[in-house]
Formats: sequence, C-alpha cells, structure tokens
Amino acid sequence: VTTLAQDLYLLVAAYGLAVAVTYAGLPVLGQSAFVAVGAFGTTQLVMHGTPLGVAVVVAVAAAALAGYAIGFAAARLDGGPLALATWALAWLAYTALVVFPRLGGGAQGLTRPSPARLVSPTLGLTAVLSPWVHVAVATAVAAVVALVLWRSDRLAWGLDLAALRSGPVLAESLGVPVRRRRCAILAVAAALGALGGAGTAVLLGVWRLRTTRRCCRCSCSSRFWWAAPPRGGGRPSVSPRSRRCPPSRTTWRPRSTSTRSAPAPS
Amino acid sequence: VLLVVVTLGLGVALSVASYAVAVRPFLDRGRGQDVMGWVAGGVTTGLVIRTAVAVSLPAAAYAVPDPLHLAALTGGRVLRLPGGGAVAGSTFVVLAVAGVVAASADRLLLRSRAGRAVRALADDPDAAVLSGVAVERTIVVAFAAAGLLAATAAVLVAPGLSVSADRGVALGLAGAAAAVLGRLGEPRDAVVGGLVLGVAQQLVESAGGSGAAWSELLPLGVLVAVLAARPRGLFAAREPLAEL
Repeated sequence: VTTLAQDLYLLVAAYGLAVAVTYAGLPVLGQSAFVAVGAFGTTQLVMHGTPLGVAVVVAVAAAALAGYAIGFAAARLDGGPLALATWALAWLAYTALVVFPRLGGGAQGLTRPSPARLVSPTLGLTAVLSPWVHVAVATAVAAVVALVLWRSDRLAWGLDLAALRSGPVLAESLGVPVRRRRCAILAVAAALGALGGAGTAVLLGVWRLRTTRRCCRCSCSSRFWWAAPPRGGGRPSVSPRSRRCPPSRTTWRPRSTSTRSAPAPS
Repeated sequence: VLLVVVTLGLGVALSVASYAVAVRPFLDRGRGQDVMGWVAGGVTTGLVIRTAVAVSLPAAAYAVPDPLHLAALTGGRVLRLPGGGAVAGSTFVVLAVAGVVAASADRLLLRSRAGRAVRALADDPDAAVLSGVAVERTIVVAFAAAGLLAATAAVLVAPGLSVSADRGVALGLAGAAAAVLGRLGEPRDAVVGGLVLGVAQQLVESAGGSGAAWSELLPLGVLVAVLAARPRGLFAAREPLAEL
C-alpha cells in the first residue's frame, strides 16, 4: 500500500510535468527541483515546529512562487536553451542540498515520525495518516488534475495552452498573454511537483537526496514525454482541422492587444 | 597513449550512437524538428550512460591515473602566488592544450567546408538544405566532434579530480556555463569563459567558511542567470525585437 501511495504521488508530480511539457510545449527539465522543495520544505518546517498541514501548504506555495519566478525569468527562452536552463536549475537545487547538509540532512536525509498525525486543536480532531489515507488523497488529487487536463481543450485557458504549443509568436498574435500564461503554467507544474514531493515525504517519514533523483528520472521517462508530439508538444497544435477543439464547438475570441496584427482564426 | 586513443574513440562512438538512437528519430525533416523529442531523447541517453557508469563503478569516488603524465612534463613544479595561492605546473599545460584545441576548432568552423556546413545548418536548416549541405553527414560530423572534444576535456581534467558518475554532468554543465559567459558557438570565448569561471570559483572557495560549497554552486547559478538574461551568451549581440 505504501508503494502504491508513493507511485500515486509520483503520478501527481508527473502530471505537473505534463502540464508544462505536453500541454504547453515547454521542455522543462527542472521538475525534480520542485519535488525537492515540497519534500525538504515540508520536513524542515515540521522539524522547526510548524504544524504538518501548514507546512505542506507553505512548501507547495513556495514552490509555486518559485515556478512563477522562473517562468518570469525564462520568458525569452524556448526549445533547447529552456531545457538546458531548467536542467541546470534542477542540478542547482540538488547540488545545494548536497553541499549544505543542514538543508538536505546529508546522506541520512531528513526524518520525521511516521505515520504522521494531523492534529487540529480548534476542531478537537486527531487523524492518523495511514498509507490508505495517502492512497485516497493522492488518488483524489491525481483524478482532479486528470479530469481538468482532459477537459482543457474546451476551456479558454486550454485553448491558450494549445496556442502556446503551436508557438509563442502565433499565441501572441492571437492575443494570448504569453508571459503570464507561461508563468502560470510553471507555477502549476511546480505546485503539483511539490505536492507529490511533500506527500511522499509525509508518507515515508524520511526524504533523501537519492529519492529526489529517482523522482527526476521517473518523471523524465514518464509516458508524458513520449506522447508522440508532432511538433513542439505532446498534444495536437492549434489548427482549424483539430478534432480536439473544433471551431464549431469552441469559440476563440482573440483578446485586444496593441501589437496584434494577424487576423483571428476562422 | 593507447588509453587516450581508446577514450577519445569511445567519446566519439558514444556521441554518434546517442545521435543515431535518441536524436535522429526526432529530426523528421519532412515535418520539421520535434524539439521535445530530441531533448527528451538526449536527456534519457545521458541518464542511461550515467546509470551504466554508476552501476559498473559503484564507489563514491575514484582517483584517475594521468595518462598524459602532465605532472611529469612540468617536473611537478608549482607556481606560488602572492597571498599564499599555488598553481600546479600541469594546469598551464591543460590551458595550453585547451587554447590549441579552441583555436583549431575555431579555424575549422570558420575555414573548412565541414565547419561552414555546420554553421549553415545551425543558422538556418532549410536554407542549408537548399544550398546543398549534406544534412545527415554534417550532423554526424558535429556529434563526432562534440564527443571528441568532451573526451579530450575528460582526459585533461579527470586526473586532478576525484571522479564519480555525477561528476560528468557537473563538468558538462560547468562547460555550458563557460560557453554562455562569452558568445555561444565561439570556442575561443568558451576558453576565456572557462578561465574566468575557474578563477572565480577558486576565489569564492578561498574566502573560507562555506566558500567551498558556494563555489560548487557558482557555475550552475551563472548558467541559469546568463541563459535567462542573454540566451545567446553574455557578450553576444542583442537580438532585434521580433515584429508581431
């Protein structure tokens, strides 16, 4: 059951990668850094006396903020340079944890009591987070993310992602706020990665550096990478012939921008 | 000498094999390049090679013998610097070899037919094809040259380090950081960038305290920061703004 829960948390982290790679066409290789922020952040905060629930929320929010900042800083990057920069970022996080043992706990990693207990003095509740509880939580999160991604082609922001997949210039000409969308995508990817990391750290009660690296390898080789991207991404690009978002079912209203000169798609 | 030749040959073979297995399938010139595919293919190949090395060499670190006997070439001399610093004589040999390799690569890229083909393909693949560049052969030559240069760097630098499976990635990323400190695609700038980065690392390390830890982070931080600010290199000309 513990292995199942761990794999489901890994699935959540991989969904984060899929949002950036498959749905937005951004070759992001830094997902393991966000997993590490979630895992080490949660464990460090708990070790310093923060309640478990608050620690998870703070760690996930910190990762999302970091993801947004990276999206902002890497706004001009695409393709190979973006992959190289985010890969270097993942190694930067890993190296920081290695060379500063107080952050990563050294070879032994960071440990905390397991199974964890959620205590709410206000409500007078104490819940033991058994592996089955983790399975339920991870399944629920993964299912919600999968459902949202599955329906994304029918939502306005899903069409923005489709435009981004086809290329930033086309997306810009269609009135998609490219920089804002990329920042938001990386924030969501980071938050999901951190959630996967935090969940696994709480489940196991220990987080080591090699666990982060294993997550990185599993995420990189997950099926989302290999979703047969025709050009620049794993999902179909914007096209009048696209079966996923036919114009008759979804109306794309280009936003008014001062730089827009290309005609709206029919 | 045989060891050096085998190492260089292995570098070339691995590089060309990784192109054939992991990159080429994603370069369908009929439909354009699949960036995601070759990035994922390249990263996965790197992970496979790294894991194979880690499995076959399980110790935390290894001391590598010096096949070129660089220390013997300089008689084991050490240059004492004001302030207590010291530079091994073999470092100057490594610098000289790096300079010669960079100058040769630069000359080959600018003057030789293969070099011009590589630059044309990098600048504009479609125009290069129309100009009669043999695409397949040019890419194989570029990958072979990349493998040869990487293996040369490993032969020069490994004897001074404690080598582990992860060391290659760290060195590769440090090399990329050195390259973006100048102008991407300019071998001479990469040598100067490497020199600047190495000296900066030593200065940070000699600051004491947690300086050694920060010096490990410096190349990665430089790579991320420079790529974000100037994707074509720190001293590359700014690209004109795209007209939308």
